Amino acid sequence: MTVNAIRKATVGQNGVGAFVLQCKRLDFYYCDWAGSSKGMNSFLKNSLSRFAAANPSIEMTVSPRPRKHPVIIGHYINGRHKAICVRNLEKEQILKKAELLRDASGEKLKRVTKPVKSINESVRGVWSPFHHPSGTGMRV
Amino acid sequence: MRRISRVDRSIGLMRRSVAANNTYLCAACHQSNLFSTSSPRTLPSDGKAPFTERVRRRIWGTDSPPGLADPYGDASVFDQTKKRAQRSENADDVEARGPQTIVRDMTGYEPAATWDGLDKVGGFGGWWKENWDAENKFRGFLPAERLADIEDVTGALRRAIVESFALRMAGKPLSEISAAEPSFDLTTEVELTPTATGATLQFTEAASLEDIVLSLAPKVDETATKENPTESEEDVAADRSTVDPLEPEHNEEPIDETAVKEQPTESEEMVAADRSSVDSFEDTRMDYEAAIETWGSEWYKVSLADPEIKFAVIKRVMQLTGVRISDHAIQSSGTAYALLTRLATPPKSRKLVDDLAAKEQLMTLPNVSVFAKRVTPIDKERMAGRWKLIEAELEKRGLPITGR
Repeated sequence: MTVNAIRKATVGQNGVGAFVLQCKRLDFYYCDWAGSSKGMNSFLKNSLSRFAAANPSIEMTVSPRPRKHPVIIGHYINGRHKAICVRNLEKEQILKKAELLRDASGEKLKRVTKPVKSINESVRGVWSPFHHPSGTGMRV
Repeated sequence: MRRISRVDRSIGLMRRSVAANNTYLCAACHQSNLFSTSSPRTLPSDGKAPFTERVRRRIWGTDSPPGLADPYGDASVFDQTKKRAQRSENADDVEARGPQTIVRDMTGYEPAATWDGLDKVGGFGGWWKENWDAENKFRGFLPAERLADIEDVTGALRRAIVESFALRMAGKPLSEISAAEPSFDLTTEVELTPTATGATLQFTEAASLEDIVLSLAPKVDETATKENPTESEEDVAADRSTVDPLEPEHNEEPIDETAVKEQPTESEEMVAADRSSVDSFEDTRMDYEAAIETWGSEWYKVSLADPEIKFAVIKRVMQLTGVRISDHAIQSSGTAYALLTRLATPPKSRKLVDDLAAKEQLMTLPNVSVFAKRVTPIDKERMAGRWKLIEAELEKRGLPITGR
């Protein structure tokens, strides 16, 4: 008899039925005075309206953070947040960073070594030391 | 590099006691005094007058010569002022002590419970009242309010150009361009035609050259009385005086034309308005919208190559509009149009919020919120609706409510 894992009624697979964007809020912080915010200020003036209009499900806040480098902070529905410092970046580079935060899942970064990843249960079941096809399994 | 202080030479110690007596010596003299082969001057111990004093007495021929009691002793200014101050202090003490000796009858004395009716001691006294005249406030050259409307700026620039060229035509110095306070604009009817070297003006009956030049002349206060009037000025004053020289006692009441009458006639109103000194530049501002269309676009080509004209125009424009023009803009503005573009450019906003607020497309997006000030941790709690609870809990526990 094989050991079966506890069966689940459904398995959450974002994007199979519907896709829910994991990023719920993006905070843009800038400084009026500092030169490292030059690109950020330009981004907010010129590119933010288009970016915000293209992503209506993400709340965006813009607020000054005097005497600090510019930062974009993404908040995710898993409760985590990610911050990227965009000091001295051009507005195009900042847009790339904003898109990166938008597309992120909010999970911690992990090294991906295998090309395929599946959450489906294996048809062979979980390997057990007591059941070997040759009959040489561990005797209890 | 830090300077290393020089160690005193041992020979200096020989003269130290003598040199230290005279503290008012400059560094060079002090150095040269450190060592001397001559013996130090000492006062005679036998009670005789010193040699210098004896010479003085012989010169004056008397035992009590005029001048300082010790002319070679306390010659320092500091010593003398100190003595003088001490003397005056002593005199003050004597004066102050005088009235204190009077015994007053204090039987009816009752200490005051409030400060009402008591003399005030200390403070600035009447200094502010004497030195800050509220009626004659400082008025700068530039108006406090900067003209933002492009039409107003255009009108002011054309006016400045016309007035500059009018002054030149009249042979007056261009430095008089801003001597008078800006009043009603007479130049809207004047035709301004650019030429190779500058511009020509064509005046109309409504606005003649004389009128414009007269409007630029500074107002002279004719009512002011001069201390030493010249003969001609006295004549003029006598002409204008309402006093009959033959019957000086029979004085008519001077008519105050600017006084507000209950029912003034139309002509009286006009005269009063003309002579009234309260008319300000704000009241005389006019709408240039219709005038700009009639002027056409030809006058924009007026050359400002002549530095004298350019300086006069810029000075007048600054006075009329309140717009400051940078040196770079002055240098690079060769025509009226170039200067107008500089004048009409709004100043750079100092805060990004102002720029974002002007972007309607961004501000109308429902998912974007722009904050003018830093969003603090307390702000975040307040947005989440937790701050009241936190505050109440802190109060309950007797903890200070700090933070931002």
